[in-house]
Amino acid sequence: MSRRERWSILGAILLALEEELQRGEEARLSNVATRANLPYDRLVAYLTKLQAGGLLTEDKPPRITEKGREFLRHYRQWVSVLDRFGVDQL
Amino acid sequence: MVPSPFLLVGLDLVSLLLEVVVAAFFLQTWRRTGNATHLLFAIGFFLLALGTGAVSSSALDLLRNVETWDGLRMGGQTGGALVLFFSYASMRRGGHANILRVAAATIAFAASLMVILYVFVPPFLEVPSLESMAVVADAVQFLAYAGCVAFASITYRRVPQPEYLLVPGAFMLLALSKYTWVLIDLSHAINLVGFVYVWRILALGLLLGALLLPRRPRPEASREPA
Repeated sequence: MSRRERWSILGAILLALEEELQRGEEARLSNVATRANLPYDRLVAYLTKLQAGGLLTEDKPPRITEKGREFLRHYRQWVSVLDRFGVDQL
Repeated sequence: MVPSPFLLVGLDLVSLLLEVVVAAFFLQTWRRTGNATHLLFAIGFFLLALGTGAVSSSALDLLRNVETWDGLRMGGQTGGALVLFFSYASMRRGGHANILRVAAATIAFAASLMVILYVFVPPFLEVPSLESMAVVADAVQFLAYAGCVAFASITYRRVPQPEYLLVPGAFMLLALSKYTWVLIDLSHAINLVGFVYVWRILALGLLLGALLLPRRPRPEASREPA
């Protein structure tokens, strides 16, 4: 089993948060951690980094900023391309 | 029938452009992600572009030293194919592509090949002729691309959707182009040259398609925990 790289983890968290927010209810961080396949304490540490980078708001629960959405759009394209290249590391 | 030299130079320039576009895509992506896989693919495709550029430049006779350009072509194309192959091999072995490991494997393999050619190919203990080096370089590239086909087809084997055939198909066509070169090197059947260009342009078209196609939902089978 391979260790995921940082950009892949950040993308997975944003993706999980977006999916959780789309459910219409208030996003629960425990659900985000499950969706992103991360322990809760690591999720919290990464959320702080994402907020510091301007990809998430400081709200509780956090929301995805425009910069975060832009990253997510690129992340989806990168993952698609790597999958097409058979790079199965993420 | 052998295509006109002008057509071949034109096709080389198209190949060069496509290879640079693919390399630039991975370079730009690496700048955002810092992911070694992206950087290694960028280096691999830039080396291929360097080799193709040498072919075009040789045909345009800019330097008037065809041997230098041929050496550059062989070095670039063999180096590019080996970098791509060892990048895949590194990912399969360690989960991540390791730049130092890939560079070491590529250099060690190329150096070993040169030593073997120097010692075992007549005239012995002399720098081998470009002709004998070309056969070996094309055969090595054929094997490297064949290996890339096996590695790149892993997503298709898990999720059999047509879009996951683009890259394996591209590597298969690149392997076919090198196999055709080996046939040309050995039999001097110069009338096969046109096929090499067809395979290569088709391969690069498929690679470009793999980069530019709209994204689809990611297959669940390839997700892994942190």
